[in-house]
Amino acid sequence: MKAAALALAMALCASGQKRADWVQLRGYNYKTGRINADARSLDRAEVAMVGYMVPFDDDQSTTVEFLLVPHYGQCIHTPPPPPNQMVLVRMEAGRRARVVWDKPVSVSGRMFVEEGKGALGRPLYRMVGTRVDEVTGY
Amino acid sequence: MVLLSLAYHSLRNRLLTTALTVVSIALSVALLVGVEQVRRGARESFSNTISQTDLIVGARGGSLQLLLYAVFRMGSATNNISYESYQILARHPAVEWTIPYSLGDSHRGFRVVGTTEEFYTRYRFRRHRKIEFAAGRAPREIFEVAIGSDVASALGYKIGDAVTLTHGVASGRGILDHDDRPFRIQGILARTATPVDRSLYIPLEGMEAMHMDWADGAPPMPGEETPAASIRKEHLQIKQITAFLLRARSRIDTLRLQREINTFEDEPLMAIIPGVALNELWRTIGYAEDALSVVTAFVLVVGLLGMLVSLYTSLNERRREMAILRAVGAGPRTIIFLLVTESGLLALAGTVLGVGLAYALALTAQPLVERHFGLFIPLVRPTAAGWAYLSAVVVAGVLIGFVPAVKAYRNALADGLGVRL
Amino acid sequence: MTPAAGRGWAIEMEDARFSYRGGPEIVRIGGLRVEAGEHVFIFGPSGSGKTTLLGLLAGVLRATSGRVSILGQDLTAMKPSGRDAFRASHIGYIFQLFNLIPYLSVRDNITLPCRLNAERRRRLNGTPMEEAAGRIATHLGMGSLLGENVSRLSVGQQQRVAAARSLMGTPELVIADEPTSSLDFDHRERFVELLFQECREANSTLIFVSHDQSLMPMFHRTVSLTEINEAM
Repeated sequence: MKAAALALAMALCASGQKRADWVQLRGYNYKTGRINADARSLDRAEVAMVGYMVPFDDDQSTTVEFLLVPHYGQCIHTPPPPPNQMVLVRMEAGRRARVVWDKPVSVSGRMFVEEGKGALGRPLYRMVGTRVDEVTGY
Repeated sequence: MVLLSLAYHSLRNRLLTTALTVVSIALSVALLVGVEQVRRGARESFSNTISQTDLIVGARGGSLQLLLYAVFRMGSATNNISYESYQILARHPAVEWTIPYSLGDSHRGFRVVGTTEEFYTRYRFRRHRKIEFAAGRAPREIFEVAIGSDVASALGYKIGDAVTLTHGVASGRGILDHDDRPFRIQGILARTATPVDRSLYIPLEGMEAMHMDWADGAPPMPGEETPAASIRKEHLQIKQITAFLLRARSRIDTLRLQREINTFEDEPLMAIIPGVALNELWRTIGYAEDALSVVTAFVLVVGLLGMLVSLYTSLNERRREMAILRAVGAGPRTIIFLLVTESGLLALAGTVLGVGLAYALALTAQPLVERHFGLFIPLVRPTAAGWAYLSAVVVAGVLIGFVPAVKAYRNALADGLGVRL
Repeated sequence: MTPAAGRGWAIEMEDARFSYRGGPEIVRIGGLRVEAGEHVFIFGPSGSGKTTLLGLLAGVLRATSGRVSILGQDLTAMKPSGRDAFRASHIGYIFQLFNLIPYLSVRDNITLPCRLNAERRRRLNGTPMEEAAGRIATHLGMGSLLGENVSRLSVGQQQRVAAARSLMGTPELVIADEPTSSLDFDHRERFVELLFQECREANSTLIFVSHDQSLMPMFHRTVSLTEINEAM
């Protein structure tokens, strides 16, 4: 697992991408609307993020839009992730992402941090995805 | 090239064994391709039935059950949800649109769906396609109905015909017919090749009107019904629906909405994400599929072993042939090549025939499946993995050919030119 | 002994011995020479090592020791695949019986050596294979049977097809292993005459093995295998 993470990290360095993690995303306080510097640095940055996919299109094999969340399985017993722990990913025009269930994926693309506390219908974090890879070794 | 022609003529000479071998391989390949075909076809077909819907909401129960009755018109709901709850959620600021469904009645085996104008404008399938009318228009008045294309073709209905709906979802004409309140056909939907084709659509008010005057689950006594002509939309109060489809303004809110619905305080509700529920369905079926795949693989092995047996047993009667070939200058390598080519040809012929057979069967089964389930199983092309499997069958055939080939080679070395007969 | 002027040796055997691994010696031939173009009758009753001798000459078997040269080439020095290729290029072979591939037509049986071997094809001198086969078949009185399935032929016809095949692409050496044993007397002579005629035309050396001495007078020379095979 360490080896895989290391390999991933190295691959990311090589491509000039930053790796964004879920703790960094918490720097956006969705109750007050304050965004710390760490979280703000993600705005318009080319990043890669590892998380689980909640796909929206009905097509079982590919999707153009999905939510990236830090844990898998939306169950009735736990609330959904807070707004600052969800990224709405829309694939770049013409691209589709292969749907991956119950395995983490690494999503690369440009991240956008939206102002305004994440009112209904407004994501805090939005990403235009360029590629989605299944992460093995977790 | 010479060897190919030799192998071909040799196989043709043993026509019966060759044919039987090819057929046995073809059947096992057909099974392999057919299973894959049904598996992928069914998935595609199910996935194509509902699009652009973020959540399906119904009374709390099994998520699979909700998916099946709300989308595929299979099985039935155990509980309805109140119209008030529906209205609260439909007006939720994060919700873009909803399509309510009121289910439970049928007409000659076809489900009746009480719904609203939203269904005709919002419902999407196969990614972007929407409901269209082959004839007529959407029902507006209480006793108007639009019918799916299968209903129209199966029952020969036209615009203007009157239909009587049946209480419950019996298959055929029911005992408790709502024949005091017939519906007039105003529209026939264009074919969608989804379960949409197998339903009749009436306004929610129609569903309510049909059950007016019913008391304690029994229809009104003859003579006590309110005459259909005197029922007005304004007088009807919709009390409940069965389920509704929901689209969020932004998908970022989907999980939040799902949570809100699942913890709705006024009554037990459940919301599911269609893709996730479908995936659950496939995973449930997955074990059976895996078992089937293993069986298929074994059938294939048996087919290839049959080929091995038939080639191997033919070698004794072909010793003379091998000696002649050696006399005219064929080396042992040529003999090995000949037998390997023969088994490769058998496997190739079996595979090609098998694929053809599978598609022919799929084509035959297509209308049957559609008639019974309203699901159009598309003919899917083999995936890259599928092609790899098929090539593997041919390669396995070639490899298996080495067993009799090596035996023939040994025979030829021992026999030289002198085969005694 | 030297060959007649202008001719080479078709066959030279010098102290050639053969035994199957660990078994007794089956063949030991001190010296056997056949001139190119000769028609030699080898008299070999059963049990005289006839099949083994033919195996050595055709290069299917390799002498355990000694030398077996065909057309000046030492077969004992060649690899098995080299001997196969040599046989394909230079030797025509006729069996006692069941000479033909049952699933090929008469024509395809005759052309088989040329289809399997480029050298034999080359020696047709540009004549198309089918035409050459037709010519030989006609010489042997089989012209009308070219398209036939071989299973329809009589034994005599089958042997003639075998002869035609052995002569396709004019090999230097034709080896016939009791080709007439299943024919009645009249047919035997006729068959041998046809074979001679074709071999002369092709300039081929003919080695004809039989235990039937009645045909002996037709040949240039007779060799008795019982006499030359010292192993027996």
